[in-house]
Amino acid sequence: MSGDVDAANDPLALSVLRPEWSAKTPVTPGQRLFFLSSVLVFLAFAAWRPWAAATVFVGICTIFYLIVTLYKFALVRFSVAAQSEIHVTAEEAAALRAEDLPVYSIMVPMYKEADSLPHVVAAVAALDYPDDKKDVQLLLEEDDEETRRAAQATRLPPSVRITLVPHSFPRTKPKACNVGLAKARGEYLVIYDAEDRPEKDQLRKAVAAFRRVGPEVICLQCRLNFYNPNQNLLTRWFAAEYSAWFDLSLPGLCALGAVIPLGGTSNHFVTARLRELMGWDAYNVTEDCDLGVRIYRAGYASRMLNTTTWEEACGDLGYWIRQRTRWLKGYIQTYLVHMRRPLLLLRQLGPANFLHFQLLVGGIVFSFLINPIFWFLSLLWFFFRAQSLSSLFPGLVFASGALCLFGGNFGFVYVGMIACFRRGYYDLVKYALVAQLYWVLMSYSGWRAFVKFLADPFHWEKTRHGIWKSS
Amino acid sequence: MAAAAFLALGLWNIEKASVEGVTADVICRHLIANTTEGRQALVSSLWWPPLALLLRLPFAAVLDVESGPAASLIVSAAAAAIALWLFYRILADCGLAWWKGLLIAAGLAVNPGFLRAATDGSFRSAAFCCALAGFRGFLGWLIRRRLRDLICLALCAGLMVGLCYDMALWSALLILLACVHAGLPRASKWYREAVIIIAFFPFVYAVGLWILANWLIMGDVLRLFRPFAAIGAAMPEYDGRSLISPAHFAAGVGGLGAAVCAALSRKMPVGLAGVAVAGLLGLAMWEQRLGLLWDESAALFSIVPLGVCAAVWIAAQLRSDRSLVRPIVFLASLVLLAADAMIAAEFVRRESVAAGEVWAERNRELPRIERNVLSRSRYATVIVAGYDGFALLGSRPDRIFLNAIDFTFEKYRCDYPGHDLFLLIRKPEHRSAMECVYWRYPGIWEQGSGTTVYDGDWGSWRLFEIVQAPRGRLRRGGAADGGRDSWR
Repeated sequence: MSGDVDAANDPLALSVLRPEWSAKTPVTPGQRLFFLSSVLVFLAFAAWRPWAAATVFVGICTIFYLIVTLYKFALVRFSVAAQSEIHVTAEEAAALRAEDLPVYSIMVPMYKEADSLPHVVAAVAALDYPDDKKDVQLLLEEDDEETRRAAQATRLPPSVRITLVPHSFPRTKPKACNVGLAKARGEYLVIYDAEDRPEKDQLRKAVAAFRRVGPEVICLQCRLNFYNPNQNLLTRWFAAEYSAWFDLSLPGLCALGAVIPLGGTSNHFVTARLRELMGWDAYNVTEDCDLGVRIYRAGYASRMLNTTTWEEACGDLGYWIRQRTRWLKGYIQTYLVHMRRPLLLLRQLGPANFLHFQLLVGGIVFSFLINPIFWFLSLLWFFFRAQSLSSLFPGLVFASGALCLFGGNFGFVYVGMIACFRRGYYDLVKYALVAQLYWVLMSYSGWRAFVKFLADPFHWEKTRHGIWKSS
Repeated sequence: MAAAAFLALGLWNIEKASVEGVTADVICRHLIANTTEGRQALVSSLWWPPLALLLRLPFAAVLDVESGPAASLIVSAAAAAIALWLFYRILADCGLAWWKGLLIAAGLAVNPGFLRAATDGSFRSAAFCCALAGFRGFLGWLIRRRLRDLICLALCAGLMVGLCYDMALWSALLILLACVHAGLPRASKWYREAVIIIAFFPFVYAVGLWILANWLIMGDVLRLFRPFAAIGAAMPEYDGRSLISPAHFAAGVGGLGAAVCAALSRKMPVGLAGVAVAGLLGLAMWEQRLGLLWDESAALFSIVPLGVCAAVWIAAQLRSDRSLVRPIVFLASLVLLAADAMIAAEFVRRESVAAGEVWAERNRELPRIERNVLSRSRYATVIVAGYDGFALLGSRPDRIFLNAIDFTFEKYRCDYPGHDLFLLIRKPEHRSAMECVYWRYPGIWEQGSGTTVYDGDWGSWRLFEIVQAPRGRLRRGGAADGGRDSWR
């Protein structure tokens, strides 16, 4: 079957030619056997010695918490290092001569977002880049009549064309992007969402950065943030989280030369290298994170770039939970895909990046899943003084647990404040004080993602944009 | 290298180690053994701050405490070495030539007070180190308004809460001054609000955490502050002698002078730096007035070095007068450090109890007390109240002697029915006067209490026999009066 596949044009090529890198099979038989046997062994242990099993579980989780806490603070510390991202000044970007600039492909996947079309056109037009060197594709689904009609009715600039994505399974953003990739003409390529507002000189900065770095760097991740942080409490927390992630954690990873789980948009690629990697995995609902890991597995690298794309923060709780569920489900997919052969992953990434991968991709989901358990234990201890809980935390486990509870939680709140301050969101600093409620929402989404992964791994829970504008 | 030298010096002269260091090491042993006394000792006193104890914990876990306060010596030596480096860095940041910086840092390093703090295992060097780091952040914030400096200051203030309560008050002053500086006319309301939250959050969190720990472990939210209610009564012999030397005054008044001059010439950062140093002197004077200032005060210990840092920094800010001011400040700093060294030498000579004396007391008095109580009863139990008991008893398990941090007569009567109970307390001076036994039973040292009978003095300790109720009566009384002392 793989002989019939056109690697350059088939949006599902990766899942056919390199099935071991695709989430088409969410859990391999070997992984299923491993997980089931682990659960059975633990349950048997719990039935035989319930208290001992609980103590072991608590001990493992506490060690995990300690490592994650220290790791995240280390990332923040490294983020202030001089080499935490590629810094291109506005003057350098402006100094590039138009005739020296390459053709730049811009892909905007859209689905049922007819209202956003004028905004997309305006945002693309606003980019400071020669029009004749912009290769803009609006990736529209074949069955999305509404957006197609709106696009046909809109007077699109010459640099913008419509690319139809054939109606087939799976119907995901990465599949649409693969269709666009096959038709991209640019030397470099970038993905934007329909509601994105990239900084005007972003493409120029990306070109300057690509020319500065070595050939191993094939992807630049721009910072993402929101233009509607003050819409409501949820968007304020969301903005604080994004500021911490894109302004502190990812630059910290970049400073360490570590694998970067790419953000959903504003990833700039060297088109030829991206084709070499067969684009995105159409079955992965967090295709950006997966691609970020594959880039490193193939021996390439990603870097952060000092430019921001402004997005719309999802201010509706229901949609926010669905969006977060999808992200975390994608993280589970990505983790399982790359952990199919752990030793191979270790060899390809190296020990340091292997550890980064464990903590960033697997660790995030795991922490969201176990958080509620430990919140419950803490409440029991604080309010009911359940003395029997002490035996679950022997000696050093208690010390580590106390450090994580009191030091770790302080640190995460404080990092949120610092991130808001650095970003200039001075009015959001106080909201970081009550971010614990936001963590509850994330844990809820984590469990929802886990259930959804088991029930419907490929379903793409679409985030509704434009709520801010309509409200 | 400096840390190794300090540590070697401390180990070589281990008999001169501080009682504070010995006590801290023993408390760490209790924490490792997960005893109730250890947990209570960790959180229940402002004078035995938790972070200062926890810093020693990893070292105490791998070192044998019986051979001396090794963990405390390591921590104080390392902290002193870092403090020296920070001191030099602050001077270098001010643009002082490297040899001048080294000369001033050497002036601090050979100060007998500093050397003692570096080699005796006390809490002072860690507090001083944290103060320097915070002060560096403060000075950086005043001049650059960089977030990194503000975070450094805020985190140091938070840490200081767990290292030294009086220096924590001074750190709070620094934060306040930093916030004042952030409130310049051009700053937006949101900016000022954000600065205040970021600056104060670690401090407030640390205080809140400590109070929470008191509630969880001691069952008393206000436990930390209770000694203040009995300060006067608890220290009848506080002589109010002046511990604040002319060198301290010179540094503090110099800061005040700089603040006044800066106010006149509208140089706000310079003024705030001056206020910070003067504030430290003010803090020491306030403590002295309350009777809380004694030889080991970290505030007193830090005035001169911080004053020197501030003076050099202020000189660097006065760029127009650089050619005149800088050499004068450099020479004045050396003179101030030399004066402080001479005064400190005098203090060190007449300083009171060292570890060697406590160990001698342990070897001399404990067997005598033991013989005394056993001659009276086969079931004698001696409760050694307060933190001083840790240094006296060491970490060896003992059948007769017990440490007690949260001492009440009722509790021990109920916990040891049928035992003949004795209470051993140390003379209420300095921080010993802040022990719970003194604020809970004021006057117990001189007059005993209604339920104790004076037994005798053993060195600096006094032994009381606790009068026991007949068993039946105790049980009825304990139940009827909710655990209060029914004989008082």
